Amino acid sequence: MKTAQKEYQEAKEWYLKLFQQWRSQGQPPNGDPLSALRENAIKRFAELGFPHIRMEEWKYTSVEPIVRRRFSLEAPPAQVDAETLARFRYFEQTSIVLVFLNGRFQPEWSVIPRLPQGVIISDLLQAFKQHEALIKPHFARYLAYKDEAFAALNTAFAWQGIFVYLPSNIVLEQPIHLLNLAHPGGQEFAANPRYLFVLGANSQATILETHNFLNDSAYFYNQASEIVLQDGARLQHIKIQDDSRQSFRVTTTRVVQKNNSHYHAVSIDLGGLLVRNNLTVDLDGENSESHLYGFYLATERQHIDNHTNINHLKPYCDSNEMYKGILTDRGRGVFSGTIYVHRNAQKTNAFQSNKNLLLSKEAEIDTKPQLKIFADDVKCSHGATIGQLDEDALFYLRQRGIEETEAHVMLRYAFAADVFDKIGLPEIKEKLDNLLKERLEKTL
Amino acid sequence: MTDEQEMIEKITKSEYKYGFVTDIETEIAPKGLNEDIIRLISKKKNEPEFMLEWRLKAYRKWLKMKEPHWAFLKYPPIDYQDQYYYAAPKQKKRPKSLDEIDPKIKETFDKLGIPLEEQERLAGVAVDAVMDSVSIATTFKGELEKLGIIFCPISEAIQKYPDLIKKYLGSVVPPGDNFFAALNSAVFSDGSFVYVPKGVRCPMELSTYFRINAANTGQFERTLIIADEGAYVSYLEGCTAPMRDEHQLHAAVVELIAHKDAEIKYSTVQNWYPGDEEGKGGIYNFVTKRGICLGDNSKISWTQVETGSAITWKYPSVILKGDNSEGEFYSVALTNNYQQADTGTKMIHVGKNTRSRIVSKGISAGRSNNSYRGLVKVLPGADNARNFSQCDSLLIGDQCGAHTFPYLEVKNPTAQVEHEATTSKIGEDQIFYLNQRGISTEDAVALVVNGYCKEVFQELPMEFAVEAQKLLEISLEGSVG
Repeated sequence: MKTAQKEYQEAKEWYLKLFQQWRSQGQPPNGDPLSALRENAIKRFAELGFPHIRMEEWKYTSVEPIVRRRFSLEAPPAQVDAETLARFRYFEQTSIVLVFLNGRFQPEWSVIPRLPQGVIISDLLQAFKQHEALIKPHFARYLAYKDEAFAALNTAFAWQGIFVYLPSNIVLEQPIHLLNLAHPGGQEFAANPRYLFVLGANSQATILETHNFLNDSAYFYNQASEIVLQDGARLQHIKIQDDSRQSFRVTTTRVVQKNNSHYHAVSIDLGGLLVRNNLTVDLDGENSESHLYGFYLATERQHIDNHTNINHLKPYCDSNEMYKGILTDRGRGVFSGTIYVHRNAQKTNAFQSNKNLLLSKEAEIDTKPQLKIFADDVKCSHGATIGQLDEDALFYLRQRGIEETEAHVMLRYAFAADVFDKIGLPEIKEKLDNLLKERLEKTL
Repeated sequence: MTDEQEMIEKITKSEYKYGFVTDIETEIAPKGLNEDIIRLISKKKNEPEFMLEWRLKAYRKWLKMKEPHWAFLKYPPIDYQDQYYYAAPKQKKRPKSLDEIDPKIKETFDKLGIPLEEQERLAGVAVDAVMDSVSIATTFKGELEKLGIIFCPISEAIQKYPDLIKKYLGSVVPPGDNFFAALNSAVFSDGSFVYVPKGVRCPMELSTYFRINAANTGQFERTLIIADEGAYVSYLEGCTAPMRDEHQLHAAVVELIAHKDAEIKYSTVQNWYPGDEEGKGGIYNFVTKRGICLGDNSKISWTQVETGSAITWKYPSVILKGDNSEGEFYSVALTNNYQQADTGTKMIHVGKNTRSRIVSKGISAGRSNNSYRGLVKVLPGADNARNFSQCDSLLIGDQCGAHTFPYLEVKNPTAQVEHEATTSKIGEDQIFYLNQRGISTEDAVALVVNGYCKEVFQELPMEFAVEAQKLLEISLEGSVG
């Protein structure tokens, strides 16, 4: 215990030292609009330290592998070419593609066609210079960096990232593709990407986040996002995470929804050695709606942890959540979903389900669906299941001449398809299907 | 809406029916807790040396432990030195028959609706009545003795059957298990001891009534039930407590041991004083209840109806160690006014083909908070383990809270674990339907709530089911629409 404590202390000091060095080198370059916020955040991080498994929220996920490593802040300069990038493209040329290499925004590889009047897609710090009035009221307003160590760390180091702004009544037809590529080249680095999406009243957008890698080695993404949906705004937010099996990832996302807004999220986790997603949605406007879907496939020694919080703060809101997972080999899945209903949030409908297939002796699943309800005129439910493939269904397929392995893949695919079908982007369905099938075949 | 509020007003005003104090002399040890008090308790009870050592060991462990605060409960800090740890009704000798009992004590039981004689004759229930800390009367002893069943106060068992005590006491809930269990182990006053020998089916429901009587006396019951190979026993525990202003601390420990092919059924109706409508007073109820299915094909079933106490902290659990063993948990928890309940169960699957079933029904009214907290754990060796959990919450009024915190931890790929929970308001259309047919809203609510809890009540022995239903009706008196 003592040695672990010491490790945690040393890791904390490592990041505090990095921060001092980084600042004394005059980073981030070209003037820093966030210097006061950074100081606050790092102070908070120093007080909080890294979370440990004696904390309720981290009971099943030890961040010790992250703590034991000394990641550098310097992402190695990475080379990429058009051909390589094309492999990770999902859409036709007409879409908006924002390329990030090792967490850094690459304007020269990104494609930003002519945007409708008033739409902003900008590098984060650049946005503070050019659109201060638009970014300032929102930036770091929603993320609980004062309570969460990883969010605090991200806030302290945030300078690589993107600001997306849609003015009222704009429907952005092209999806925005955030194409993340890791190319560590043997150097263990940490990146702190930061996103802020602000959707004005009655605007609409689709965001696709993909995370891939070029060579297999350890790196650590500590990503944080804030998403604001003004009255009547609609956002479809898809994430396909297929990082290196040696990498680490902590994602903290906070969504704030105003009246009549609609948030639809699908989160697919296939890669990463240790993955923790914190997703918090505040339904802070009447008649708003939130749909959260997730799929995770943990094989080998992967550990994938999804923590979601849905806060019903106003009346007449609906939320719907479905997370499904397949665990094989020594894979471990964690799910914790909280539905909170505030005293004033009458007429709430909130549904949640978590289903898991546990397929090997050494795999493990820990699930913790929770309801905290303070209003009476509500309909809330949650369900969680842990089990195996249906023997009858397997038998049925075998009887019809389908080979056992194929039958297994089919049933696993059907299980996962419940979530994949929620991706409302028909043009990429085929590519995703192939990806899923390929992965499921490997689990046999 | 105003009707509704009126009803809520009414419900908060329904008084605690069983609030009265029996005026009998009690012998009280000084306030506070230290090794001397423990020595005194042990001496008063004529305990053998090993028991004193056991208590002191637990006390020393307790000193190093911290009070847990993870539950969804809020209460002012408890001053453990401001409690009495021993109180006994003053009586020179143990009564030989019911006639010798202090008439006032008998009256108390009569008020509670358990006339001993009648029960002896009619209900066929053996009652081991615990008043404060000393057992007063035990009935049906002779009949049980014939079958070799031991049913006596645990203090007596310590003297008469030290081997059984040494073997089993603390074997399921070790003295250092948690803060409250350690406290109980150090200072437990009395409780029941049941031993059912091999192959014996206990012919009657065994029952005990606990009451807290002397003001400010912590009640530290300790119950130990052992069912040997192939034995069966059903045990009932029911409680009511008199009106008090100051919080009373209650930290009981119950241990159940089921050997091969044995079955234990443990039923509780808990109705300690819940505090008044402002949330003043009321019992703090911190209970550790745990059973172990030690042998193959054994079964333990917990059924509880929790309507009382200001604070309830209680998780009757089953460790399913034997292959093919079975654990069950049926619970109704009702909170009103400022009551807080954090209750649930733990099912630990260790053996192969083990099964568990959880049915929990929470009802919150007034400004109360009611939480279900449960754990289902399937260890790597527990092949073909099955669990089904159903946790429903019903909300009455817009000032209360209902919460569900299930934990599912599975490490075996042949396990099937299912959990379901719902939270909703009492069905308006159901109330309307009943109203239409001339049933008052108040009765309709009671009817709907009783229907909602039926699944659990069905598990209770007859007499208890009737009492539980009544209790629920009283607690909901003048309820909402």
